[in-house]
Amino acid sequence: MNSNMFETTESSAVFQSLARQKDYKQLVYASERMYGTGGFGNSFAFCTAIEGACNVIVPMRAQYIRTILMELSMVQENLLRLASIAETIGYDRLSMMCWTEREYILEILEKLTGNRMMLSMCCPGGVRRDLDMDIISESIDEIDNVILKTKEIYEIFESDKQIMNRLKGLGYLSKEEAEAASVTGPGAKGSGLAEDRRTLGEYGIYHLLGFKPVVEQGGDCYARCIVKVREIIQSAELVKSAVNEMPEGSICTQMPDRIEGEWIARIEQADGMDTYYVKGKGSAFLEDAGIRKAGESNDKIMYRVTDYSSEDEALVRLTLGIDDCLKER
Amino acid sequence: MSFKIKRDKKKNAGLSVASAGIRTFHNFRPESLWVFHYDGSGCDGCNAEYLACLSPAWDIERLAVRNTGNPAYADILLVTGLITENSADELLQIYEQLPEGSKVVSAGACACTGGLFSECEGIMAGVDSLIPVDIYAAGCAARPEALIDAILMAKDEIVSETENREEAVDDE
Amino acid sequence: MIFKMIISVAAFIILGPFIGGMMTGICNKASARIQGRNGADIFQPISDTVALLQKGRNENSGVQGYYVKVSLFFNILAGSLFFAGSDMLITISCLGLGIVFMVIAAYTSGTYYAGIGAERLIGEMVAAAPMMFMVAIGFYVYCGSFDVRDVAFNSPVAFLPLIGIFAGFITVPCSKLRKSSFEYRMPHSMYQRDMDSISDAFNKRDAAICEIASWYEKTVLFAFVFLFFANGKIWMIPVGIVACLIVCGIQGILENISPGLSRRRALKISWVTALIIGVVNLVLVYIIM
Repeated sequence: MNSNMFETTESSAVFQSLARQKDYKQLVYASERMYGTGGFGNSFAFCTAIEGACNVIVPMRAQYIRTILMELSMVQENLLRLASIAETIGYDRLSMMCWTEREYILEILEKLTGNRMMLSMCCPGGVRRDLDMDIISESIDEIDNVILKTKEIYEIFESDKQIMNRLKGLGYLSKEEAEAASVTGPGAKGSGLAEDRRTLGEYGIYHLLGFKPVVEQGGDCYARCIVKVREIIQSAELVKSAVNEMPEGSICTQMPDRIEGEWIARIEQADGMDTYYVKGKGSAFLEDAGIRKAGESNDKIMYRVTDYSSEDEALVRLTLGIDDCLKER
Repeated sequence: MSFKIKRDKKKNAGLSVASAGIRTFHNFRPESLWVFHYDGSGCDGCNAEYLACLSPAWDIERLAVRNTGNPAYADILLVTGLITENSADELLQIYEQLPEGSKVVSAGACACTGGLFSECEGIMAGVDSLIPVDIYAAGCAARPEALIDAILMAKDEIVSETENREEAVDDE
Repeated sequence: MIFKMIISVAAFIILGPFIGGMMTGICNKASARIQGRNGADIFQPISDTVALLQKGRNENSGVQGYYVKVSLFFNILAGSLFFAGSDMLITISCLGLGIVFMVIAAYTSGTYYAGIGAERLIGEMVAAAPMMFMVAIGFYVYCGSFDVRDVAFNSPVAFLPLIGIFAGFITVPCSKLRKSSFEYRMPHSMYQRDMDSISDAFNKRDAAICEIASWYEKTVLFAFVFLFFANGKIWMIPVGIVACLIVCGIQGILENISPGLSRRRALKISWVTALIIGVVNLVLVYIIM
């Protein structure tokens, strides 16, 4: 097994060239900067891969902290996507509502970790810093407010006829097609596929929280938007229940200096599945590494759901979660 | 424009006289900052932070900042993200189109120095290896506070420059 | 009489851009407030455009600048005819011609985004046309003349009898339906990441002229709003001005309460509403009279 099983994408190439220069502890920062708004998820995936390769078991409290931060960054990323979608269909007020809620989430993240987007909280073996329980219990009220506001956004999406006119039937992807093209994220969930990496129990504590993925049957851009809105509410609820059950204990275990073995970690981001592959041969530097981001792997079904002359192509791109990160301009 | 017809001055004498007249009366440039935002390659974090600047929480429109899609109108060129060898040409073209007295702001670690990616292939080590930069905004990703601060510093430079120019005109 | 006419035309040519620019500012402010933002000053559009003219040397724009100036000329001509008290059908046609020349100017630049903007502008004009003519027909049916002079001075207030047409006029031609699918925003909408469509490829001077032309157009459109309240009496003037300001705020709000329509749908809805509202209202006016 090696990284050639991944398609050669821009971010994979960049990550491999970084892996030649930096050891695995420095590479955590590199992995976080593979994708700006979903940075924490990427570092989470990389750390999970390293821990799997070294056979390290992460302490329970660290798992809870990781899950809380992961879900908070999923909320802000989904809100960012919704804001872009609302802006593209010309609904400025809805877009601004999403931006406002996102700012609240970023504020909570800043209070907890010290930065808005690049949290730098994950490290191999656990997390870098413990969460302040006072700040968390204060933030729960704000998260409740965000849930309330998101329900308002949900109502707007469900009741507004003009939104339905614009989004229904656009970029249709049937369940079979989605399954055959191995689409992940809102593209799959909006087409009725209940696939979500969080249900597998490979990372985090989702199996303890009783996680069930959001599924919509529409298969079009509208269904994907609804999936995004419902995922925001779901993620916020997950944060709340994770905070209530948080155990005491250590937050980090000792990691070996050299990596021996290989592992693949799959993580559900707001756009779909992110895959990290690492392989070490008794050195602090990785022998081989590869990544595959949701934004790049979903790109190949674009030709199925839209013709390139369509003026609504941008909407289809946004709802499927296809991004241009680390692409050559 | 490929067809350059040299009748410019004569044809539009009226308007340029009028605008010169207004300029002696009052210079409006510092009161309306047109920002051209160029996002290179990279992780998109600084891009998202600049967009957050436009949102209700930060709202830079209240500071008379206005987005524009044409570099020829811009007072401030805001560069975020990685500049690769492919996008270097693009950035140079944009820089050439800027009007006189415009300021260049490079925001974020990638735009300032190349950041984490500076040793990768095909990456320019910072915007200032290509074009002169007036103001640097630090951070990964550059926070909205830093971006707004950088834009206001650029505004101050524009104000002081126009004052100096007016003094020079008075001396003559 | 002629002296009065010259005064009002001169007043329009001098004050028109200021009124239009201020109205744009008020509209932006209202739109910012409903989005939960503070928004720019209401005189911001004016200082923006003057600053654009002060930014030094322009590249020669060739034939493009010519078409932009012709467009400005037709917008001024439309307003001058209106304020001279002549036929409002000619005013409406002149406004249309102004838009057509702006579209030609955008097409001659040959760039992609300017092409999209031009296409959208044509769509707006076609969608708004029936409602504009319906306004003229409404005034004709109620006041018995197409002349602005007669409507403004020699007939009662047309607001209540023509309220359907008024409602159609302030919603259809000036606001929501003007948006189309995959909108490339004008830069005075704050959250725009794409190109300022129509004046994208213009040089600084032409962009400023394009803006000024749109202000003249805006002034004429608000003069139509004012006309609904005019009856030749002095005390109706403040009422008309307040109505214009309210309509300006409504424009800002309307832009924000629902998403934009796709181009085909916008065309269909605007034509159908114009026909239904117009015909029903005119029938009612016949019955009342």
